[in-house]
Amino acid sequence: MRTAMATWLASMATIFVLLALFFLEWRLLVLTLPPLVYLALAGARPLLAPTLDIVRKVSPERSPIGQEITVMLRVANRGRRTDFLELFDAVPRELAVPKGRPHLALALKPGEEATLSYTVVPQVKGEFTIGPLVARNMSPSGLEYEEAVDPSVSTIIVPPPLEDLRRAKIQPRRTRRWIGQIPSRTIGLGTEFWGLRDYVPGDEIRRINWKATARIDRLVSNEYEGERTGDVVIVLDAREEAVVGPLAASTTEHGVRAALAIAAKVLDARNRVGLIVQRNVLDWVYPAFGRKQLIRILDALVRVRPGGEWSFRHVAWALARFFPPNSQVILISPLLDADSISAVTEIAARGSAVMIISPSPIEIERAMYADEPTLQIAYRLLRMERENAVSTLRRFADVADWDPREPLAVALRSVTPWPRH
Amino acid sequence: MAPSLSKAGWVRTVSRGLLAGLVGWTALELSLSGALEAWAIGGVFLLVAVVFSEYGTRSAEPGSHRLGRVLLVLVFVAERLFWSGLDPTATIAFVVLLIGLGVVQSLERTFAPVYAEVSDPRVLRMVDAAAVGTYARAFALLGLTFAISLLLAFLLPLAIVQSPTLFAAVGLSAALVALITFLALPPRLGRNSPARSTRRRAS
Repeated sequence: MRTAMATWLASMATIFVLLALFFLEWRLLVLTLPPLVYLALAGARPLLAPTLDIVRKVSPERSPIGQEITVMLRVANRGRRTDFLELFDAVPRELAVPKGRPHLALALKPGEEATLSYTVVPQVKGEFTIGPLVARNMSPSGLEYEEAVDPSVSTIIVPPPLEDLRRAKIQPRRTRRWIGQIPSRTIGLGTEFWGLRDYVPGDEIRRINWKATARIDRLVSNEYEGERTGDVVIVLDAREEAVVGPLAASTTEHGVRAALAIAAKVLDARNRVGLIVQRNVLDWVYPAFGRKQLIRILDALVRVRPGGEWSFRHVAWALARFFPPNSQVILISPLLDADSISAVTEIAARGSAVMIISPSPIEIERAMYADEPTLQIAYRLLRMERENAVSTLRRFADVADWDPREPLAVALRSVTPWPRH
Repeated sequence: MAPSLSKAGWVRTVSRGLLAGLVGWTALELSLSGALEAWAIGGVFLLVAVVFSEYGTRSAEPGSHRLGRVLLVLVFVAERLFWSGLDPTATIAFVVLLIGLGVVQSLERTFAPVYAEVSDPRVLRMVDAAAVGTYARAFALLGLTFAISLLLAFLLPLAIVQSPTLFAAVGLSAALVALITFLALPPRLGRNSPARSTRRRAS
């Protein structure tokens, strides 16, 4: 392969030829000789593509945002001597490289090995691939190279940070038949006293209310309020229209954080949790219990990248068609367009209890700019518009207007605990 | 061990030194020409060329380096063409050095950041071997280019371009352009070389 410098030399020589023709000056043709000779000499000795054994080790392969990950490359020359070998390991731009370099130039004798290492630090959550590695055998003339590509890649998974929601109250409004932790307003297995009834054979001795038995002179048992589970479906709005702010602190990234925290909290209370993400495609995870479900949800959230412009109403359709009826829907959206607001109305109309957590795009944008009087006025106007939209939505749903600079638990404090049905 | 910053500095010094030499030579030619307009226009162009080259060095931007070299050769050729006259030996030497500047600027963009980051002595030894070998071979190639170009300048009938028949002038120019195009194409093209790839192990 020729480099850009070869093109530059050829262009220079051609321009000299044309100038010579234009001025009819033969001495200008002399200027074409050095580029011509240099090009000829550079191509005289053919280059060979390097033959290398490459092993890449990434440690750790799963890491939170901001933690260093070491990438080690062992390159062994299995071919001829390479006097000028350039190695380029492809690193995604979301990963900063604070130590070392994924690009190196060195000489390798036959059979010689080199171990190189560099460090990457993920700036945002996601699934990233390091590689492929491109090895170039460069000509000393700078005009030519032969390259070989090692297509193997290493994957790094960077999960989103988990918010602390231990003190927040989040539970489904409607309960199912499975035993859980939500008081269900029906008699069943639980710990909260519900009422008294006559003893029936088979009742446990510890359920006999001895005070009541003594007062009415016949055996009376306690009844308790049954504690059940519920279904929660988290809907994350990751459409192109819903993105505001820089990549690492965008509304989508905050939404992912909130979705993971809520899923962990609700699953911890033995409820079923499902997930719908609207981006380029409509991703969903069907509701299920337990830690494995949290890992499934985490895997889906790690891959969330904003995209797609199709209507948010598809979510309402997917909820009605594929998810259990009467689930608690937790919608995470910056509520930037009328489409998302009408989707909330539609979901509520189908009988689902809706809660909205809205990472405020206004606060994200405000944090990006300096405090100026003009911007203050703009901020106040936008704030009023948003408050109007939120108060309209409060007719159908509980809304938490979340300033992402604050912990999510603070925003959830403003939402009243849901009445049970 | 700290990264080898002094070696990165040396790599930059080579290209800056060569640039300074070429700029100084051109400035001297301009001043010797005695024409005020040559000195005024050429001086501005030279200054812009230096700014572009320095920007290219600082930002590892090949486009700026290339533009700097284009301006430099433009000033030199214009001054020679309109005032001093084209002396084959001097112009060949200048163009060879200009090609050399392109090569060392390219090597500088490769080696300076590598030297600034590599601290492992074993790897550093391999980088040193690559740098020394490449610089030596590049300068040898440039020397050979100068010698062969000079020889060809005296052997080839280039004066045909000034002949009264337009056919001969255009024919020679077309032949040269065809030769340039042939040489600028990748040598592998058309040779049906087999695909090569690295052997790899799963990581």
